[in-house]
Amino acid sequence: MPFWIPLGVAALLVLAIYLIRPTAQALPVASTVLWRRLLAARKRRRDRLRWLLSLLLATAVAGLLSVAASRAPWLQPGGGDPIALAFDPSPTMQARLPNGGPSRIELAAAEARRIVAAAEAGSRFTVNADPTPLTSAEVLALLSGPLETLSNVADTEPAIPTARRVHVFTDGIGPFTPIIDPGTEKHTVSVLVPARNAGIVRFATRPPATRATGPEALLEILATDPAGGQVPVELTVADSETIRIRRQLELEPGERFTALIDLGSFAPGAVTARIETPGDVFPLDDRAGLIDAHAANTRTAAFSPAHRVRAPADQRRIVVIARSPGSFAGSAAALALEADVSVDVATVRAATGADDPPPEDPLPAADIATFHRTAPAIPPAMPALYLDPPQAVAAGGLSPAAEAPLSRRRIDRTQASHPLLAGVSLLDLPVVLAARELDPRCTALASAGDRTAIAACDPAPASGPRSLTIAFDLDHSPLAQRPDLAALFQNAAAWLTEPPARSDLTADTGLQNAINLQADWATRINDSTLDPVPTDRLSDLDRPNRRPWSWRTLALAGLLFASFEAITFFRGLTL
Amino acid sequence: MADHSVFAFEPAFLARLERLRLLTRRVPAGGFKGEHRASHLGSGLEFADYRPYVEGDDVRHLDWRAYLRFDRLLLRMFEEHGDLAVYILLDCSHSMAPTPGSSGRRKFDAARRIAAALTYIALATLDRVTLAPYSGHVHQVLGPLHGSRQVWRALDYLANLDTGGETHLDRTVREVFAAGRRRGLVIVISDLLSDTTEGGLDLLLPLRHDVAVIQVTDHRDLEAPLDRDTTLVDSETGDSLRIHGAPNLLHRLEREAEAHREEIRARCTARGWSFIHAPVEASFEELALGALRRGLLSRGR
Repeated sequence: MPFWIPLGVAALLVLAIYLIRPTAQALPVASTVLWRRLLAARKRRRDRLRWLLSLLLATAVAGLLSVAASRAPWLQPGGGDPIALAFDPSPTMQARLPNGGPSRIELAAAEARRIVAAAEAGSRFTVNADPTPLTSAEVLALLSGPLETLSNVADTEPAIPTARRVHVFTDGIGPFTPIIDPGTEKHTVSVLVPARNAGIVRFATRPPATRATGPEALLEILATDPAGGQVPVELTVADSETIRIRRQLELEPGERFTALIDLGSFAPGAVTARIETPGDVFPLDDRAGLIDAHAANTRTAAFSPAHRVRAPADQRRIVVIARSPGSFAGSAAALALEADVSVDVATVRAATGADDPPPEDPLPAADIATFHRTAPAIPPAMPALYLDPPQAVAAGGLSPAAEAPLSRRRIDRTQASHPLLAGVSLLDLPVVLAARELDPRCTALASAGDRTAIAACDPAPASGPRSLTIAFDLDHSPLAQRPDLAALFQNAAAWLTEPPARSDLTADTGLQNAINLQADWATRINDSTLDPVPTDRLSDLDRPNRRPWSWRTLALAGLLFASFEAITFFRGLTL
Repeated sequence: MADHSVFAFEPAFLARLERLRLLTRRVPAGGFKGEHRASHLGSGLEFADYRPYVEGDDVRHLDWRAYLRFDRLLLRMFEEHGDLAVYILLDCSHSMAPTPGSSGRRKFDAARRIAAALTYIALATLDRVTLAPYSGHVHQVLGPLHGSRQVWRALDYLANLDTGGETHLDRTVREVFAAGRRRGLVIVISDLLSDTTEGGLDLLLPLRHDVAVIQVTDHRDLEAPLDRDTTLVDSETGDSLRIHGAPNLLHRLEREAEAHREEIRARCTARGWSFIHAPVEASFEELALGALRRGLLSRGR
């Protein structure tokens, strides 16, 4: 039946009802004064009642909206066990989704937010092993903030508090086996998104099996690609002087590339292997380093931490490895360090090559290693401060960029809330900077446009020491004449030697560790038995993360609304 | 020939009227001799008081016997009596007789009888009476009349009045007192069913007259068949007002009429004026000798 037929019938019906409506009888009266007064009084009463109802209704609506939107905890039933959320802290959770998408841990947080939003009213939540129950608003705020609190835990077997049910967010790769009460309902939420990756799975020296003259290194690279195509890999191996090997590889997915490298011709010191792969989503396994224990003069990685746990009042010992101790002695950095009575500075000269005389032996034990215009091939196993490192060398979370000409800029962005910048003002400071790539695990404390001026690396406890890199020349910066420099160095000395909060946690995540050379590394970002995340679940990850208003804010809004209604009511105004 | 049937006063009733007199708080100086005690002492016949002689007083009023007794010159004072200017504003608008026929003119007839009775009383006590019938404006003003022989002229005038037009008491007060009139007693006889009532009464306040407001009501004005939707048509303005039938609407209308009356009564009381409610259902004798006496009349002789 066409649409217009019922429409026309309805219109005719309405017209008929209107036409057959009885007309009003006309009645002459002496005067309508009293009638008009009566109707006006009725209208006043009706208006007053209407406004009163409007006021009550508006107040009730505002209050209910406030309660509903904020999920005020005092209205929520407290009964029942909480819902536990457990997040896999393994490094593969840092792998980013293809095409520059979010990381797996961010995907896990998004999935957790969906679960929290869909949970029953009044539900409480626990996160990982923390037994403190959180309201939905609190856990949503936690999941909307920085996710380091979820991923910077090394416990792969957390004891999950007693819960109604447990949601485990994992990619199924790391050895993550949360301990759950028997009988507890468990839901495993997969955040596995297969992606292309190539990684160094083994890089170690071994005794020379075939040659008696020198050692050799075993290098293994494993590639994976869910699309099944060949994975192009560019391999570079460098010693402390120059790149010794550069090679283009085409690896089949699952193919293990193995190479024996003769280290006899390499310069003494650290040896670094690096691979670059287009579309690689996991940078953590693209670098590896080793120290030829059989070669002489490998000093840069020989430092050992003197006191990792110490009282703040103790004097910190800083060893400065300078390219030129003479030039460092008169530099702004030296003056700033000398001005700090809480540090004891010893300066040594860095080794610059095989023909260069080695620095003094043995090196003094220290709390902080400071590198002035130089950097070791392998980071030292102690907190490090890099001052104006060479552009071509990776140091303190900054790697060389392809195009890295120096340019004069002004610092336009700082993380003023970071403890390193307490009492330090760097904004608008003119600096001369080279382009460098910032390690995603590190933080840019000060930036000038797209270039990082100061970078701080704070790895997970027991997985490496902290480091700070000042990537510009202090002696050619106005900062040398300002008290901010001394404050920055004092902050740096305190922050670098700050004892780790959870030093008892193990760092063994099952993946490669550049410092602790493991016998068997693995690149396993796709090596999971879990089902991948459906593609439709990835479509709305960019949706803005709505944080609920606090119930106080909404209550205030309701109060203001009610006040406005009251004012309009008593003033006889209308909205 | 005027129809005097509406003023069918019995001789006995007229005799009782003649024993009444209009009450007023003051009789201003000036005017003719009358029966109202003036607010000042003067040259009347009734002794009132002594006061010390001052230079310029009339020596004929010196009490020489008091001089011999007290050795002081004392002047004898006498109460002065004057006449009262009475202005009767009679509402002749259409609302006073909304429907044709004698049953539809009950308010107007009652108002005319009240005006006639007051005129009779005033003329009998040598007061000066001005009759000013009004609706949208003042009709031809009769008076001031003085002396009891003017009673029949006044009755003829009242009997020949007719109703029509809207009520504009404010405009009426401006027209009657525009040229300035002697202060006296203003009597407004009306059903007060007009938005201009309050404004008109307010205009009387600065003129410093004594005012008496007589509201004539007819219970038929509060009756209407409201069993269905009704369009009320105002008899004066022709304005229509649509109302929807409600079970207690007429009862609430009565309460509204009472509230309206009490508002005007309170307004008059606050100003020291008299307010009299005169329902047409009450007999005229009952009205005149009862309600009127409480606010406006007293036994004078």
